[in-house]
Amino acid sequence: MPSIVLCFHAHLPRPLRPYSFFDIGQSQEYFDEEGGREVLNRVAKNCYLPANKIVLGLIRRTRGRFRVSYSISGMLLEQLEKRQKAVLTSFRRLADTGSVEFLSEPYHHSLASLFSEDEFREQVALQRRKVRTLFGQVPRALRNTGLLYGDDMARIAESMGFRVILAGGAGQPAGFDATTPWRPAGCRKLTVLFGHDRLSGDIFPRCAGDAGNGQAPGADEYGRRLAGAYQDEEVINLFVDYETFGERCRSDTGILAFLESFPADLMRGRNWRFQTPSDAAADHEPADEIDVPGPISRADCKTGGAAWLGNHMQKDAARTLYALEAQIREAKNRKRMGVWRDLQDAEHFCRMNTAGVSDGARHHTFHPVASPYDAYIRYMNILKDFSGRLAAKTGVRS
Amino acid sequence: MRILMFGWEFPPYISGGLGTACFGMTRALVERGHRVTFVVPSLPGSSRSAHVELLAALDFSAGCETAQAGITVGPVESPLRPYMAPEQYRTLLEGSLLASPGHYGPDLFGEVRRYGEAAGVIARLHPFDVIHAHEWLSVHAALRARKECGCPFILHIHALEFDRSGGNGNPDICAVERLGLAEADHVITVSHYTKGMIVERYGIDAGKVTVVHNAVSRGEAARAYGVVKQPGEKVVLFLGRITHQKGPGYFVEAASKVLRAFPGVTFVMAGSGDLMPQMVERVAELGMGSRFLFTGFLRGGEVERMYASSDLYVMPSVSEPFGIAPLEAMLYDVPVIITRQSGVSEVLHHALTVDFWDVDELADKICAALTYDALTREMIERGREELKAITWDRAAAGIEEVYKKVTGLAEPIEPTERTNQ
Repeated sequence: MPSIVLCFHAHLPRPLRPYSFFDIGQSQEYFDEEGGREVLNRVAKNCYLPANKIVLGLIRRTRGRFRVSYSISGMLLEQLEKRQKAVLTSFRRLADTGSVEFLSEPYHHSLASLFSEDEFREQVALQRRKVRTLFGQVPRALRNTGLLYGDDMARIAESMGFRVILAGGAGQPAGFDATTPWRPAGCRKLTVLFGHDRLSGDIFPRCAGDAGNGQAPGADEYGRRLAGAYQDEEVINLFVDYETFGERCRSDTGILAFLESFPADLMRGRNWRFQTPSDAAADHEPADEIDVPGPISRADCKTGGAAWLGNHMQKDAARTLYALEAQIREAKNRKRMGVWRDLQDAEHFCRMNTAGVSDGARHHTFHPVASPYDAYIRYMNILKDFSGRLAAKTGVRS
Repeated sequence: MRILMFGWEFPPYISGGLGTACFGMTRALVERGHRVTFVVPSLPGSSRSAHVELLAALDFSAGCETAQAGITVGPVESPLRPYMAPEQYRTLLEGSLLASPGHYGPDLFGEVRRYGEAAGVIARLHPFDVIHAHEWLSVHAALRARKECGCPFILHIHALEFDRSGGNGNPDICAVERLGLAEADHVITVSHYTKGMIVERYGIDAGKVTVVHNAVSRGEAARAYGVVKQPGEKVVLFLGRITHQKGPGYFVEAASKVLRAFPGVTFVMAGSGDLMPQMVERVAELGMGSRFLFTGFLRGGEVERMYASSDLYVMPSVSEPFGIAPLEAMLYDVPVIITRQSGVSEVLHHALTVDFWDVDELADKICAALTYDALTREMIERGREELKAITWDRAAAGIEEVYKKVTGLAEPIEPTERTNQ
């Protein structure tokens, strides 16, 4: 009888303001604060508050048997503290049940793990501290941005005291079994859990439609599928974006009702268990060692994060950004460091993705920009202004 | 199918995109097994070169047996020329021997009707399955031909009077457009943008209008031009008729903003048109004469060389039903900026887009394209892939569907007899 590890990821980007070439050297207003506030309020109302209420209800009704986990970016936690106290309180209530585990992740939802180990460690530590302060838990499980994973990241995670790391399931060799916990090569205590891409994805794309108004999967049908095909597995890892519930898929698709009924059905009707990542790691011996040299991620992000770093613009933007690291550290200016880190948000790079643009495919974003080219231009203009100011301060020419 | 096509112009003697479109379209139709008889009004007599041009056009259809075997270009003697306003027509007639009364119509509209009479004769000569007419000028011809041979008439709209004039336009031309749209058995437009305008402005049933996007032909010479460029010297190109519709003024204003940030950039305005004197004056007024060049009207190889030596192509059109030029520029690996008020933006995704009135946005994007190499590299590489799908064959397939619909004939009929040339 399998256990289900359900982990929700929550993050909202800090959107960029339209920033023209002629603003360079003139304006330091990079972020669209108002737009960000609007989206935060909307998502809080459509998703965070109602979904938290459902999850809390499930935990209470099952007397804590429904165990679930959240990975929330530091940026979002910070915004909730400032502007959406009610949401924060509802997360605290979840934490108080003892059935909810909070994970650590890079504070700024960044791709730092691909560019700078120092930066990656710092961001993970920052977010960990935030979770401890807000929820009274020290995270023992790590979820990298976009479920990026590789041997290097496993090594870093273990050295930081993590016992579990989550990973995307894409790019695995045929016959690879994602339904057992694995031990990363070279690690002694760390367990890696691979997300079940197809089953995780089933929850979102089915109801995405063109404008998030398709049909949510039926809880019965979903439960039957799981039961039919996965009855004998050990763990089924469902790693899902939390905003799927009520925001990406609007509530009239039945997605919130689905969230409420499918765990209850599985627990009541089939006696399946829900576990947090740490529960699963403690309960199940890793099958074997696994070697993952290159970075892998979620299926929808392609191997190694092609959705963020697949084209010339994305690579150029990321390289230009991370090339500033030494100068930033030298400048020792908290405000500048904060801006540099907010610019690391993977969402910025996601928007420069040109794949599928010709087919009219639109990636869901909270702040739509007209085209990937516009997204890149805006980002680079801002970076040009930012690095110019930095150079003026540190006396280094970029 | 046997297609009787009425147009304005046919390469190599063209003054705008229409001739290029007709060329690509007919070649693709012929390759799909259809036979096209293409009738163009052409300017006789007044200059001998016009006569030579005429012959060349005929040579063209007869000479390239394999590629153009099914196209017959049949000229009708007429001083009609594309992109002509009634006033211009009068000037033209006055200076010509043809101005004798009685022989030719007193105005452009008389001429259009005369073109129609000739069309009737042609339609009687051979059997056809379908009449395919381009633009308002050939409406009378098509109606006349339909009367003679009884086959269905498709009106292909590449631009409306509204686009050309930027306002209400000439009421007489609008009346012909209205007549043609109402009378046609089916209408083809080059974009959804234009379809929307026809439905809205002329009250035509949307079900009668099919969108077939234009495409671009790959010239054999593409990329063969080893233009030597000065490193670091950037050229931004406008290429098109210098008329209100094409938005040259926005290009000039944007150039002056860009030059403040990049004094070394060269702007080129290639083409001719009624707004040219105004543009020259404005450039002088802005004091950027040394960085802004006017080439006048370019032909064939000159156009290709111009594209090849540019770093960025800008189409600031105010109202552009389609706009093939950006696709041509992309064939030379030149990144493009187009306006959102253009039909080509419906098929082109790897281009920068702006609103025509937003000079600041245009200048901003020109600067970005000149600064960020990764941007243009991405646009060029992705654009190449996208261009592969924008073919005349695809357009011809769309047109074929319309033929089938209006004629009720399922398969193209193999031509059984050759048309006289």
